[in-house]
Amino acid sequence: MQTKTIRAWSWVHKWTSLICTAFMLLLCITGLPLIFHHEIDEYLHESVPAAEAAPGTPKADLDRVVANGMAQAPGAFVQFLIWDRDDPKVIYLSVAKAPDAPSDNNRALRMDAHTAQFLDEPDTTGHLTYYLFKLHVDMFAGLPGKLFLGFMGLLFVVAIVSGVVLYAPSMRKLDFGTVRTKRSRLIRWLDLHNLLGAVTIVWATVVGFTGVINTWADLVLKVWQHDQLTEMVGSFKDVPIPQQTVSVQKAVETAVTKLPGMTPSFIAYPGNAFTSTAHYAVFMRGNTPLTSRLLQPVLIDARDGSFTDTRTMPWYVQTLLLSQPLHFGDYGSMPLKIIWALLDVITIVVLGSGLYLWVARRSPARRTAPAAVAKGAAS
Amino acid sequence: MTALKRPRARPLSQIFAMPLALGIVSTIGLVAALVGDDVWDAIGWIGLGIPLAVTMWCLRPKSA
Repeated sequence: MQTKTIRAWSWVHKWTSLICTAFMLLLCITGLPLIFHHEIDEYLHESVPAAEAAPGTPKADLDRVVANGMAQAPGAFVQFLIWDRDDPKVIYLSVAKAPDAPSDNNRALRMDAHTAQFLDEPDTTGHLTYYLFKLHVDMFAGLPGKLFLGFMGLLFVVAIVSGVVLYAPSMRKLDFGTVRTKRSRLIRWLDLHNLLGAVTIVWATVVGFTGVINTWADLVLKVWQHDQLTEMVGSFKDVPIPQQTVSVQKAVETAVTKLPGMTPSFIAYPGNAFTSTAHYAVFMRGNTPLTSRLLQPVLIDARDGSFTDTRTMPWYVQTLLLSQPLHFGDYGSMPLKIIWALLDVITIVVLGSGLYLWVARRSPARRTAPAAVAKGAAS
Repeated sequence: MTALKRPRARPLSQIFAMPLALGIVSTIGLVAALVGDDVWDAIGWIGLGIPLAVTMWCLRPKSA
């Protein structure tokens, strides 16, 4: 590689890294406990367990579940009914002040899926993991914060790519994994930066880029509303939110007969962002590990229970849905979470050592030092 | 003898052999755990565990 080319890539690596490092450190540090948010919440916060039920015990009628839940939240409206993915004994009711109110600050009622009894209403905003989550997702700055972090993620990916390019001149005369422990501290950290960066290239790129995709979730939902949902709703577009709705249990049964190979994942009630003003949208998921991550909405007229339409989600929604597990690392039990945590710690060291290398090379003593240091370090 | 003092520059194929191999096993691991459970999850742990094991090996304490 020519010196000029190396200099150009060095410039790219230096600046993309410098700009994103502080934010990437924030993301890696808050992300580390979030890998285990389920376990942390379980440990820190008491919750009423659902009744034990033998396998095959029939689930309670959903209309009873909703009625019992709403008795705990007078004046509120159900926006979503969500089957707990991790605990099939539990159903969540996500309720708001109005059917078409924004869903950001919804209350969540935990319900027993077999007995239909109200369990509790966790105050998630008081949880440690809530603060970590908000810092991680948008730094408490809403959509702009989210998109900003997404941009930092893109810079991170560019930093990885340029790092891979610079790896070649840096490693020209070294075996893979060499850490020259007997040389200066700067050389030792450079070697460490190269080794730890090299082993995490794919993981860091995948987790970084799927994180970027996740920051676009709100936009993806908007595009889906204007694109596919509008087409599916068709002439129902101007129907007012019905005062009286048909049995949600019946709506789910209709959806299941339409897509017999799938399982209900959640229901959007008429009026919120996931459906029309007239429909229950029953979101079904597949039954294999991979397809269980994907969703397909079935629109049921909430006034008479008749079936309106169902379509597979467009590619951009599927991409978002598949990018979620790849970012969270929640798809291969506890060993995968531990691996995720270890790779996250390695990434923190790569970020920290990169910052150190920049600072160390700028120090006055280093500037007057002979070229030996710069050799292979291509600053 | 001089070869010891001035190691020859390595070709790109040699420089990137190991990072590429680790990238491939990582990719297999990331995808395998996603498409299935049980044995597929185990392939995922192994695929992503290999880069970790290689790191440990490279950083093992060496006697002087």
